[in-house]
Amino acid sequence: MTRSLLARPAVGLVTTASLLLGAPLASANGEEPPEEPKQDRTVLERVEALEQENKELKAGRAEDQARIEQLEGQVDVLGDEFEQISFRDIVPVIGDSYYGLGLGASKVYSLDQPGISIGGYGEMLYENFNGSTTDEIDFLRAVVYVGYKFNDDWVFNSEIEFEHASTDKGGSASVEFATLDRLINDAINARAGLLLNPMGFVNELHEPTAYLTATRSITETRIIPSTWRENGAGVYGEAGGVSYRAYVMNGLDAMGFTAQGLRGGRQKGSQALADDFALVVRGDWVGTPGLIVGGSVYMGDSGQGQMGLGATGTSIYEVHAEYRAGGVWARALAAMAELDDVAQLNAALGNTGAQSVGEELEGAYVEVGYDLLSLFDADSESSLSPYVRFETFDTQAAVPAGFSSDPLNDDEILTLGVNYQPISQIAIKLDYQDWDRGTDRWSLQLGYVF
Amino acid sequence: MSSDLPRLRLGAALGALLLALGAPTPAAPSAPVPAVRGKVFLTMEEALELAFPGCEVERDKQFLSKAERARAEELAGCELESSIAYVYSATREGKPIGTAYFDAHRVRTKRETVMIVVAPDATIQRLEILAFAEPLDYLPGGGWYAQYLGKRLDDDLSLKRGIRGITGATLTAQATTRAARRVLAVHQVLGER
Repeated sequence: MTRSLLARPAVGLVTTASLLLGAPLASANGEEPPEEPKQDRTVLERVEALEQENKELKAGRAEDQARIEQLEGQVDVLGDEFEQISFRDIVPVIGDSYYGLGLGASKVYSLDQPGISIGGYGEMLYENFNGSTTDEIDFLRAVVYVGYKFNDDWVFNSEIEFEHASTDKGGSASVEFATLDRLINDAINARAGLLLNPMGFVNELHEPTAYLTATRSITETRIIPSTWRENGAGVYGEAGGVSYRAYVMNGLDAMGFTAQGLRGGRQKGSQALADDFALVVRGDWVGTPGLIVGGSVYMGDSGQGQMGLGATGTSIYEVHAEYRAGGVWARALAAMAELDDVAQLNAALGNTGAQSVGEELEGAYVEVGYDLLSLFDADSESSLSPYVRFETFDTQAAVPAGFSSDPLNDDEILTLGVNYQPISQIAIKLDYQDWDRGTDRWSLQLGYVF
Repeated sequence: MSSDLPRLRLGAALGALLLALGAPTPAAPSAPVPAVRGKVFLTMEEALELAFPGCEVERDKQFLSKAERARAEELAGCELESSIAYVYSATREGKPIGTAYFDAHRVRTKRETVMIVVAPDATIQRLEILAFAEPLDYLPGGGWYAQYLGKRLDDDLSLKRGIRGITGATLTAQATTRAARRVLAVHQVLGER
């Protein structure tokens, strides 16, 4: 349309020029001039034709201008409506114009509100053991997160986990957590339901992309059981650069404790014995970007009123730190647990000699990885991080008189590996673990999160 | 140890906590400070008032040509969501104070909407989270977002350089960093006209 508009005056000018110049040129060429009255009529007709054409051109231009203005208005409206759609969460849609937007409206329109949130993660693990231990490849976890926001005050969140791919072959389907949150403000919020125990790194952040190595540490498996979830309620929040969680939850079941650790004591929210409750409190300094420093304490009885058991007081303490900056990702964690009435527990379990549950358990690890790709491409979403972890643990650091410790429960592990993330939601990890006493192994993990 | 934490005391505490869940919500603070109260922390209007108190704010719509969009995407290192840029320029007594842009993007499966104010020297002057539709567990806390202030469009504006990541909210950190780069890139391209 713009092109034709521009072309019209040009055509007119050419026509005008040829009409006005045509006669003198013909005369100059020596042709016989037409009779004057006829020439006058011809010129007059041509001028009239030109005037008519000019009038039509002006009318056409006015019409085109009106159409352009109309189109500009439509584009403007479309642009405004596109902004409303793009920023639907934050743009009020009713009211007088202000910054081009609604001023009077207090209602915030959002297509996402309220709504369901869905996510998930999973991991496949291949372990190749030295010696006679049978190698294994296992689709260890497939997890679905489902959350629902009822309104601004109430939110539900859950994690449903399928372990080992099939219940036919020893796998399980479990609710890892299912919580109702009452959101109040930054400093304090309330949470109840099947809670993740907040101790350590892995309990709350166990997606494959949230830790460097192919397998979780022993410290965060046997001393701080993971994934550790129990029924309860508590508060959480953040103020002044400190985040915290404080939950009351059902205690562990001491009848599940072994010489290898406390992992079997988890009741997982399933028909849990509830004679004994426990308190767990965690605090972290999060005021410095890239740095987390904190600790947590768990205190409660694990006897659950069961025949033959004492209170079996159980205390677990841990401190941890994480640092992420540039290509560096480093973590350290130390944990210890103390149990009471272990001799009584051993008797109830029928443990003798080195089968004793530990009265004291301790473990610690330090790990560090470095993303080599950060050296070359700052914008790349991919990462390639060689890592090393050193861990020491002893699940029978102390045992009651009359019992002994199994040396295999006091071990050190050096892990060397590489973590490759083609995109940040997919991790492929390969590492080799050198156990001081236990079985060395290769581990290959494929993990994803969405 | 068991005497320190008698069963009844903890059981009572659990009951009290459950009852507290149903208690009325305290009145929201009047100041427009982001709070963990849900998904929408600030409306666009509130965010602009917060960023530019007492300023004149002029809204403008700019359509990027294909070449401009391609250049902005090259500068940002990521794709733009749209070829339309909504520019909110603030002045006080005729003096430029800053330019605000809004960016809505997906974090995991849900959206985060941020306002980024670019200072006259092309650095990030302010970054506000206006809406966060993912579970709030994925919203970085503390002063994490303050890292972006003063950053300009260069390699330092990256999770592998000047922006420190946060375990458990990696996708949020990436999405926010990409948004910051997009905004600065669009601002630069518009300035080159």
